[in-house]
Amino acid sequence: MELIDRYIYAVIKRIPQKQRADIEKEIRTLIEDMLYASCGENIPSSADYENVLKELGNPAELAAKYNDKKNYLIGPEYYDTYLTILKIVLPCVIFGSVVVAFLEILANTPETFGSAFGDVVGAICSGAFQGFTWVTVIFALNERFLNIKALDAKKNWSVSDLPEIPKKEAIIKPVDPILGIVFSALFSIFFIFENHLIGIYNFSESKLISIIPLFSPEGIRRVIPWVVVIFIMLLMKEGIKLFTGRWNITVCAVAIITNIISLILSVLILKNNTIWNQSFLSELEAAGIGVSIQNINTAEIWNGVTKGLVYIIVFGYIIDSVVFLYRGIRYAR
Amino acid sequence: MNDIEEIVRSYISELRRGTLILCVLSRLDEPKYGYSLVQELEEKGIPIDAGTLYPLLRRLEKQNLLSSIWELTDSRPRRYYFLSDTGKAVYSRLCAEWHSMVSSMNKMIS
Repeated sequence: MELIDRYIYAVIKRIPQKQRADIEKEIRTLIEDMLYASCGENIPSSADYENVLKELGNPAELAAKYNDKKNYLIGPEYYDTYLTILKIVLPCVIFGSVVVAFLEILANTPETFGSAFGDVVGAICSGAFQGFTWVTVIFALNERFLNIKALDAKKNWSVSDLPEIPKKEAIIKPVDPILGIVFSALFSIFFIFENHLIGIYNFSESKLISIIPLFSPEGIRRVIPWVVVIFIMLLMKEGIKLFTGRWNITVCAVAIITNIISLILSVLILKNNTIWNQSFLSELEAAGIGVSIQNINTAEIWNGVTKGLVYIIVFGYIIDSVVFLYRGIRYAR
Repeated sequence: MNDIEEIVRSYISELRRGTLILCVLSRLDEPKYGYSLVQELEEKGIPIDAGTLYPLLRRLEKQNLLSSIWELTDSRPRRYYFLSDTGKAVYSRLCAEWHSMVSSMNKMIS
């Protein structure tokens, strides 16, 4: 009977290849038994067939009962972590894409307001979509193949694992690390991809004529791996703040160590002459912006500026680390 | 009113689901094929869909509680399931648990 074949096919196609033949045989005998129970020795009519199949129910449901495999993308064990990560990633990428889109608009001056608006909306959509897709794909892969244990899922839980209730001042609000991640992600993306927009903006009658870039794109391309390492350091620092949720020795130690590594890398990057736009001064002069005061060695000023930047960064890192040290000691428990 | 009906129905099906394995194991000390088991349970007042029982039998076999063989009866091949040694051990443990649960429950709700 064709109807039976169609029913069985509808079940079987939802079942893993290996079990198909066996389950098909089983369902076929089941249907025959059911027909026999309702008609006995009589030849079943097509209404009998239909009744039996109706009794067996929706083939998709039957197949689902046979499949004890996971029929979800991200299981309950990881769902909370997944949502947390999404809540961090989505604002980051959306905000990031908007900023980049705005800067592109600023640099290229689109024809109409409409096209500019379209660019921004497009950037938001594609940013959000990318972020969502990648996070979901990574979690789904983990669910299926890796099964890395969720962060707080310890097998042998004991009472001593219970965290102390932190003092109010020792609590790290999630906003703080999330903002940290957002801005450093933005900065890294900006520095790597849009560094031509960092520079002196040459306006004439309130119209942008040109941008004299501070950096050399080729030079920066060579230091990208190190920028990425600095970003990862920052992710670790903010990440541990986010997941620990309070100041303690471990958080502060990680923060200080990552700070030291980032500081060393930043100084090495900035000290590397090739990242700077070597013709910055001459371009500036050509644009007629450079206040060409005689008897002043412009190259020396330039040197001073770049050196100054290094000092500012060193200073910033030291302040940051001292603050961490203070908090680590103060909220040690 | 409908809400209450709905809630009651869903809890009853939950209660049934918990006892289903015990029902199935209790019937399989001798080999039986799936549909004969459906009919037997129905006679004894435990109606169960074939579409639920068949996958359940497979799962129990996968857990080594049941064994199965294909056999020809009435010129039709059928898969006969029966308790394995593990199945017997599990069944007697579950029975003991069931009896103590029933007596505690009776004390509580009667």
